[in-house]
Amino acid sequence: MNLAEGVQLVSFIILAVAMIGAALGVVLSPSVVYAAFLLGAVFISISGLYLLLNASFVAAAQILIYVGAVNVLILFAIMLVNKREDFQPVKFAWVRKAVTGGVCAGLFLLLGTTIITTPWAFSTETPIGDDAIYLIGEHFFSDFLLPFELASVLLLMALIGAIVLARRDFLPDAALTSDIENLKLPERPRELVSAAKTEQ
Amino acid sequence: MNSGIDLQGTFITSLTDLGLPPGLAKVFWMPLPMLLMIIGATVAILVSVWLERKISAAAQQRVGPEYVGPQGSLQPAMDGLKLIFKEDIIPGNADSILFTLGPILVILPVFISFLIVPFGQNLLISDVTIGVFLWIALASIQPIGLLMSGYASNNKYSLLGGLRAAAQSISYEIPLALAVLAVVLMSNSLSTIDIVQQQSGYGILGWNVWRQPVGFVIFWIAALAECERLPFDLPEAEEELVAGYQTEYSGMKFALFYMASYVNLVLSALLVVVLYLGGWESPIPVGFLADLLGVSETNSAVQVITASLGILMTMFKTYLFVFLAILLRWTTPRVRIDQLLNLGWKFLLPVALANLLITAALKLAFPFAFGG
Amino acid sequence: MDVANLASQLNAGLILPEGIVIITLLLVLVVDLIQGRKANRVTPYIGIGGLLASLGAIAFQWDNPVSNAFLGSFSSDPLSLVFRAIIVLSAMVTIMISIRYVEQSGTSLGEFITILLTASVGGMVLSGANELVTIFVALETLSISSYLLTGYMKRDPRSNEAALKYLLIGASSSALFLYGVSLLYGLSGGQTELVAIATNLAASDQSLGLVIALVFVIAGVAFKISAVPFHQWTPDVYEGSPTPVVAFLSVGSKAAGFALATRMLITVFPLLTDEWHFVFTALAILSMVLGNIVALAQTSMKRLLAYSSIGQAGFVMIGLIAATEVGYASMLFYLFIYLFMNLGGFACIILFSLRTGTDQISEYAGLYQKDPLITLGLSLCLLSLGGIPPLAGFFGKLYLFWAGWQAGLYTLVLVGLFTSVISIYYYIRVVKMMVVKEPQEMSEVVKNYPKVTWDLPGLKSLQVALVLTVVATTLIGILSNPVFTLATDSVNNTPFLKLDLARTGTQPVAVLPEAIAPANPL
Repeated sequence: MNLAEGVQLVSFIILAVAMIGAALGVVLSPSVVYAAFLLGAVFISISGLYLLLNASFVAAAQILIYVGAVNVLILFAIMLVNKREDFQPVKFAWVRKAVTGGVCAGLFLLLGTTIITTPWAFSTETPIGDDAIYLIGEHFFSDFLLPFELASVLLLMALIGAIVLARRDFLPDAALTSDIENLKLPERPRELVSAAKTEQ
Repeated sequence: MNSGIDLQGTFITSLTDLGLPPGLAKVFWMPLPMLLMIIGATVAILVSVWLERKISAAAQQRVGPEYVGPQGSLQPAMDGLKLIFKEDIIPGNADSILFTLGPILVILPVFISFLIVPFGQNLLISDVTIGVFLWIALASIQPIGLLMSGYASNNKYSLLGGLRAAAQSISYEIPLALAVLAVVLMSNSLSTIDIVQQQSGYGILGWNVWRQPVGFVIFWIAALAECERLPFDLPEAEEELVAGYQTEYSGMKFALFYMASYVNLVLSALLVVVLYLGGWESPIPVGFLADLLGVSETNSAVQVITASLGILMTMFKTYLFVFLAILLRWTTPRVRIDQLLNLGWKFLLPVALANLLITAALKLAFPFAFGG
Repeated sequence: MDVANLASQLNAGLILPEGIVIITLLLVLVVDLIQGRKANRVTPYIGIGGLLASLGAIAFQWDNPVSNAFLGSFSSDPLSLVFRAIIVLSAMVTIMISIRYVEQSGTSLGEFITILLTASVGGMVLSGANELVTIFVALETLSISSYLLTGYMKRDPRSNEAALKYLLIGASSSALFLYGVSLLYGLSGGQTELVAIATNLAASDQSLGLVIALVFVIAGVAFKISAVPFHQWTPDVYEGSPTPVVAFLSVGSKAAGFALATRMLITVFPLLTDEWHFVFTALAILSMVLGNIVALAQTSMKRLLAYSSIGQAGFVMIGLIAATEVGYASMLFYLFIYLFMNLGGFACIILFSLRTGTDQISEYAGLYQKDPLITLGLSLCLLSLGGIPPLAGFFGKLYLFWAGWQAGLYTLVLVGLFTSVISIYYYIRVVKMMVVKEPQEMSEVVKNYPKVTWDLPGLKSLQVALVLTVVATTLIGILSNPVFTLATDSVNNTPFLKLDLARTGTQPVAVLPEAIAPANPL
């Protein structure tokens, strides 16, 4: 084993331990804020693994998207929620935990066995390394064109949906007093915001 | 393209000549540029702090620091010493782990980003192909640190400041990235070296600022917002939020925030220079001058001069922008938080998108001028 | 690969139906943006028009199906065309029945139509997707739009609850599906196209990993078609979400799920055919039994239809498990008529709740006296769902059971017969509630029933949709032969199904024996 391989092995072990530890922390931590921060640590460790695999673009994208966007969004959501809720301690909570733990351990054993027993087909091609960006671009515009374009529709719709769910609806005053009074829906809004009363 | 001087190659060859295996020689080499860059960045902070104090004094018709060192130039170093020796206070009921981790997470990505800043053809730590993308990705870690310190301080002003900082940071990252993307489109590469090289050859006329004026302005505004410099320093708006997420911090932890903000400013200025002002290139190309004087470009003396000139040029242009940022800070009023977000989402984002589209169209129409 | 060469290889014309829908949704968005509230008079009709055009494009492609577009990521074979047509039709009817409902609930119509159209684009691409990445992106387009639609009545806590439940369960099922898919990618040595995966899997010898991948994929698919035990979300989501959305979820989304199941399981897992048939048999039996028995106890019409749709999914699975030409054809046929009878039922429920504000079954008592149209429509649709001759549902079930019997699935068919008798009981209970009651037994709501008018904006299209679906439900029963021939044709002309039938050695059966041909029912 030469120097570079040694460094790689050590980095891999460090990253793997950090990732598994942080991931366990996400699941087991009683504080949701800690869980969210540890999730960021998991993402960063994964990005380190990508670096070890010579996929620097994917690694940077992982940080940009998962740490910079997803995790920050989760943290925002947690910090903007003002409500402090004291949960009733659940009776026999340990039974649930034990069952969950058992199921997870079983799944882990099963998947572990799969990984060990499967005769994986190893690719013999050399890793493309730094030229990956060009290859990814080519794929986007040839054989993955359809999902790439469909993803844009998906994102547009997600954007619209997020706005629809987040904005406050203002009903014109006319609609409130008109003939819909006798026509009720089970889903009819309980309290309507009048456009005239509100300043914003 | 000639490669200029190759310090790494020379260093490793001389060590292998001494009988070391090449791998080991490389190990010896590796920490050197990093160390150099960290020292350089720290000195850059001190210089910009001194500049800030002097310029603000000039703007307010004062003298500013003048006793420590010539023209008070050692004052920032003394400030640093003071901060090191101050008591490190962790407020009661604060979350001490997150409280400590926050400033570290804020400053670390900025320092790592110096990995990609070039001062010459071979004068950078690592010419990674993802170049500027790495910087954008690393910059996106910062909000986590800000949220962390805001949350851990157990102080409503800190929390609000942290939230504002993170909101500002993620909303201005998008126009920033789009502006960078337009430049990348022209140079066909994310690598900072390639971006500078694509601007070289025609002196000042070849710089991207002429081809990307809109992108340049967007980038500079967004970069100022990312650094939380006035007019965008809402996260620490003292009238509203005391000092934002920094409120509870003192001593070295505060110094980390302080350093991070100035390193970030210098880094942003450096990247403006790299992306839009030809990096280490002089306004008049060195090769042209050398031809004029009748000296070969591969002459080692010329190479040393070129390299030094490159570093000088980079620093000069960078500090021009630092100066501009400081001037802006002491002459413009602060925007309101809703104005800030409106500017980011409703103005800069569409303009940056349009800029990207137009650049792509121009690239198709005039491949010779906008990168083939 | 240069651009011109690439463009000729893409066969991009094959996604014309999807393209039309995407252009329509952008148009709806822009018109809504420009005109504001006034646009409500136009946007639904733009949406319906676009979907009609898309249907036309699908019909146009019927004669020259091509099974390879976008370098293998999409296939426009007759099977996908049929599924896409079902999804487009269901989206169209959903828009028609939702206009009045959305306006009356005080939410904006333009965005509702946009999201619904996006959901149908997702479902349409999913029906033809031939490659893992496309499958996943299409699946997510469909799912995320469905979550948004579910939570569209955001001031109603029940809608919020439904959306959250749907989102959480849907996200975990997506994650499971993705895990299974990633296993497939790894096991096949880095292939994403379904056919290539199958080839590589056949070449290598992997058992355990493949089984796990199969289990995870089935978990993802079964969630979409809400087969027991992956059905827990269905009743709550159906009860809480806006009724037109439920109509779409129970038809369009389910059809997309069946399209995915058919294509993916048959293409990728020929090695494990017995295994996945076994799993689906279990799912089908559980769905039929649980869906139909729990439906007996429901008091809310929406919940009743939720459980009934679980049971119906179980019936449809018989066709898939039969794995014969007739089996697949009867699955398509049943999905096609299920579209009309279920949407017709939902149109009646929406109309009733628009006029009275309730969807409790007991409130329907004596409706016959006040609103004969709803009574007639709902009765016909429910009876058809239950499988009473000579309505369409009867023939659908007949074909399914016959195909199952032919394939030797005796248990499954017997369970199906037994549970459909149970289902007839609860469907007829509603019909009896509406028709038989004496005037003094009328519910309070029906006593105060408003005068029947069709003047309010949006009610006309609801009326049209109601009449159309009810007529279709009735007529397809009598004229089922052409539709069934169409389904058989599409199965026969679909390459991957042909391949599968050839492999399993099922000799092609002549279209239908005379005994059950619709010319002489029973």
